[in-house]
Amino acid sequence: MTAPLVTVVLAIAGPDAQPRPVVEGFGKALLTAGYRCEFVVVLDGPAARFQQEVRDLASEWPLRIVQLEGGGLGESIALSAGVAKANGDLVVNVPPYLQIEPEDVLLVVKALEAGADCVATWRHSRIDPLLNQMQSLVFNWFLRLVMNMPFHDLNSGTRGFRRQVLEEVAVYGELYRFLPVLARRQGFRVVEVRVRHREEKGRAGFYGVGVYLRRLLDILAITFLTRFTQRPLRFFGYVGFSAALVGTLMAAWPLYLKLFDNESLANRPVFVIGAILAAFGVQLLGFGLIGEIIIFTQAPNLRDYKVENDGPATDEHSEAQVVPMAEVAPVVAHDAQPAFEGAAPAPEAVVKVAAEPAVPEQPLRVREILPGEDARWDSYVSRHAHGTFFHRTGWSRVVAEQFHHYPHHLVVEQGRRWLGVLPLFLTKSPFLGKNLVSVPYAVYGGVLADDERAQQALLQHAEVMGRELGVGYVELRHLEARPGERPRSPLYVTFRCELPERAEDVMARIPKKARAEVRCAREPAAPAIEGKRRESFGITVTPDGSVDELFALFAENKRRLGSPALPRSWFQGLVDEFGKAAVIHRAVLPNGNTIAAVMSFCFKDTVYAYYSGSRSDVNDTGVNNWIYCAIMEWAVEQGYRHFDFGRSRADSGPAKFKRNMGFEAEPLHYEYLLLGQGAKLPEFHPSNPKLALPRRLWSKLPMFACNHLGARLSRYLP
Amino acid sequence: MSDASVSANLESDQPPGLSVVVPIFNERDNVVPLHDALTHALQLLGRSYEIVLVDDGSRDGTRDVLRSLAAIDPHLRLVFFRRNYGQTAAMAAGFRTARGRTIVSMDGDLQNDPADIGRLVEKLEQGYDVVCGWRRHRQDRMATRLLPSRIANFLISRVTGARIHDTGCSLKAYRSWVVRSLHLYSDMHRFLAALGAGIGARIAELPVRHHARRAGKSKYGLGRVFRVLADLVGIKMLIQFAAHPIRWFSLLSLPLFVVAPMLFVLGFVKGHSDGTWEWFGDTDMAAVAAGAVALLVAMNVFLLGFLAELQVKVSKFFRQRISVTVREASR
Repeated sequence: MTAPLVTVVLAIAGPDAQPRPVVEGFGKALLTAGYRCEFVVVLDGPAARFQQEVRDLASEWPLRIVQLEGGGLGESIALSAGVAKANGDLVVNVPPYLQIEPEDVLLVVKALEAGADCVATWRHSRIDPLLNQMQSLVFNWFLRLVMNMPFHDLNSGTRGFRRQVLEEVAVYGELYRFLPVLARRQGFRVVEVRVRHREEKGRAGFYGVGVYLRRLLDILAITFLTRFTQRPLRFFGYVGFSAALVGTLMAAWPLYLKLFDNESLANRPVFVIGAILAAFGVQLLGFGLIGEIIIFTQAPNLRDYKVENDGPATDEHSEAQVVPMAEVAPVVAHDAQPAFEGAAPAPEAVVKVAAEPAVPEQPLRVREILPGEDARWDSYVSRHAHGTFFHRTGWSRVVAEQFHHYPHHLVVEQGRRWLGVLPLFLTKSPFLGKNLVSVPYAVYGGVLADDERAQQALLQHAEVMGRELGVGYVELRHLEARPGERPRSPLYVTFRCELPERAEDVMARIPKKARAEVRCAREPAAPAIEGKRRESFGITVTPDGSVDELFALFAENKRRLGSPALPRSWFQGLVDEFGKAAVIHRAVLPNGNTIAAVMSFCFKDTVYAYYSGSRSDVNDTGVNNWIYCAIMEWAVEQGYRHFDFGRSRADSGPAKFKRNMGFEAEPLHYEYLLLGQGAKLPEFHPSNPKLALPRRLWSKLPMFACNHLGARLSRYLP
Repeated sequence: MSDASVSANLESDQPPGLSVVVPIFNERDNVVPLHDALTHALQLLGRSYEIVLVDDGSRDGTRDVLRSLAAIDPHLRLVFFRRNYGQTAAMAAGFRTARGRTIVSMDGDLQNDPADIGRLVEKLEQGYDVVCGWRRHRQDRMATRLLPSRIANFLISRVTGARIHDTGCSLKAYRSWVVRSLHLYSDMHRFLAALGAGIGARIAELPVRHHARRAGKSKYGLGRVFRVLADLVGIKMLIQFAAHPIRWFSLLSLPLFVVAPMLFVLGFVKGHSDGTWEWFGDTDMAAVAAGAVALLVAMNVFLLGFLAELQVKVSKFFRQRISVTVREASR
């Protein structure tokens, strides 16, 4: 990259200019510091005296001469004319004599390079007469007071700015000295640097009254222009309304006395002042309104923004940019970390993985999912062989919404390709402590990754994150085994099967005893015939259950078992989120009573029978067998290939029931990363004998108490 | 990325059906995910689209990322601001650049979910001109932010008559004629829907997802309340009276016109304690003076209305607007 070009603009108007020392001093300073420089000398008026000198300079330095016709046009016009001829983006405007130490111009240029749009200078250890310093002090103090601007020395003739500042900020008359103020008002970044004062030309002592008056009016004009032109109604409306209100209040009391006590208003000045104030307020409002109307109607012409004219990228551009992006990526991760609410994982974990391959390859980068990436996440999950319903973002949304667990979903990517995902929730519970769970309220979860390297990166990141969050363990509810050794919980098994081709074959798969149960529930209601046949009930199963039916049955079941039930809003949330993918089947007696209901989820080619409930008094009807059989038949008809009966504890009643239905128990690979001090596998589950007493108590609670407490408690039982 | 649609878009210079306008300011880390999410969501819609990203003078390298994205995605159109001009200007520039008949605006910080765009557009095509997103489950739990915005939204919907719960949500879909006939300045993007209602657009609302802000701060505070109030008055006036501002000014001067004669009467009539009245007995100059001031100012304000009327006439703003509206509607 070539050194930046700095254009120094000086306008020569008066007789006391010294162009040579200026050009040589600044030129040397800039060249020594490694900048390229050029000069633009604006001759305002017939400055015959300097023409020869400037021409000589032009043969030695890169210097352009701008001759203004007429003369005496003022600094503002000279500045604009000079900047128009400048080639560089960085412009330094200096008076035509060495006002500051030439080396200090570097401070100005450096500030511009660091990102400032405009640089004001503050002369210190000033050498001009004390009286002038005092005046300058008062002027700047007043300016700071009125306009709330942090500048200390606006009279300093040395200013630096980018070209575009002058193209956007219109300066005229003597307003050039307010350039930093105007630029700042328009949203440019303006900084002030301190420079050493060297020499001052100009009048010593007092100026004429007119000069001070002009300065004062300038300040007022600037204040007005910068403040009130954006939204006139805001200011005028505010002041006008306040004045009208105060005025009315002031006038009200005397008026009241006049009307009812017949007291003269003449000796109550507060009335007159109030009345005038109120009228004044109304008038201000009117001015605000007319200002607003002008702005509104002129808005199409007012386009108050400037577009950079380097539209879409050219080819050379893109080549130059694509490569650095890959290098930038890890740094990006680095920078972004602190923003993630304290969950800043150390980047070492990522870097280590990336360092392994010998060939230069884009490093793996683990980060949290960003909002708006949900669709991409979901499509990754549905493409991945191990992706389950519970990996979907919909599930996470409902969990976050209902239970306020905070998600820390991780993504590992290489360049822009996603190599794996890990849904994680930070759950806090008085029973289980603080943990990261993948995925709460679900039976499956855990890592989905393209290869072991990506999985390793995700788990390392999760581990680092877990330590920073101070969690006990990271729970990964894997359905299938994943590579690597981690502590595993043997507690749960799951039951799955492949569905037959035809709905009729579903019955055939079911073992004999269960099949008999199904028959007795499904066949048309008929009384038992001794020795010949059992009583049949004619129960119908339809996929049109409501959340209320399911919840009533589910909650009753749960209470019977002595565990808190999930709240009704949870089920409603699932239905709202997943729509047709969450189906509720219900079993109805011929008399119209619903006696069992099951909520199933459909994802890819699998139906997950997930939440269920049935009345306690209908066990002998075989409805439990029948409803699952019916769901399987329904799934076959809908074209699903797999049925998932859900997990159970290996030796529990439900497990037995599922075995009786002809399902094989498959061990689940629930794995844990134990992080906390003395962390061990969780023991807070219903088959823990320590919990027998609370469970018995729970089942004795009245229903409404159960539901209320359960809804609260279930937050802590992810 | 479906190559067919890409090349089709390149070859025929047909304007796309859908333009998504996103103002971006210092979102280096979010740009790529945003682009991916948008592309993903828009391709699912199966219609021609363009993404207009307006860089509002970012200084953190967002531009370079944008340029490299534009090099690989022909759907992307970029507008670069020289410096930060604020969200409204960025939206205005984006709307100016957008070519689609349907225009969707959204935030660049991924608080909105691109997956909602399809639903908004669907709703729009049911016969509305503006569909506003409604962040029903706001992810900012802070009451300090929720309450002011609730109040502001309530006032705005009351006063402007556009019954919308959430004016602050950037995720909105418009028919292009609406944004073409409204010119944004200052903070006006908040009131786009209200202004749209003012020019006869049919407004609808749709709940959308909202994600918690991951980084950065948002600016809400008590100071905003006054500004919103002032803006409200302005909007109300612009909606109702912009075509004939003199009415609004008459309304403003009317109380003064009423009060002035009353004050005159008060000044010239002297009531005695025995209940009798006397004209010009003992004039109360203070009341007369106040009446005179009121009359003067009332006259003044009324004449200001005359000026405003002239301004509106001269600017041809409304004639232009009507022609735009008619043309778009008849297309």
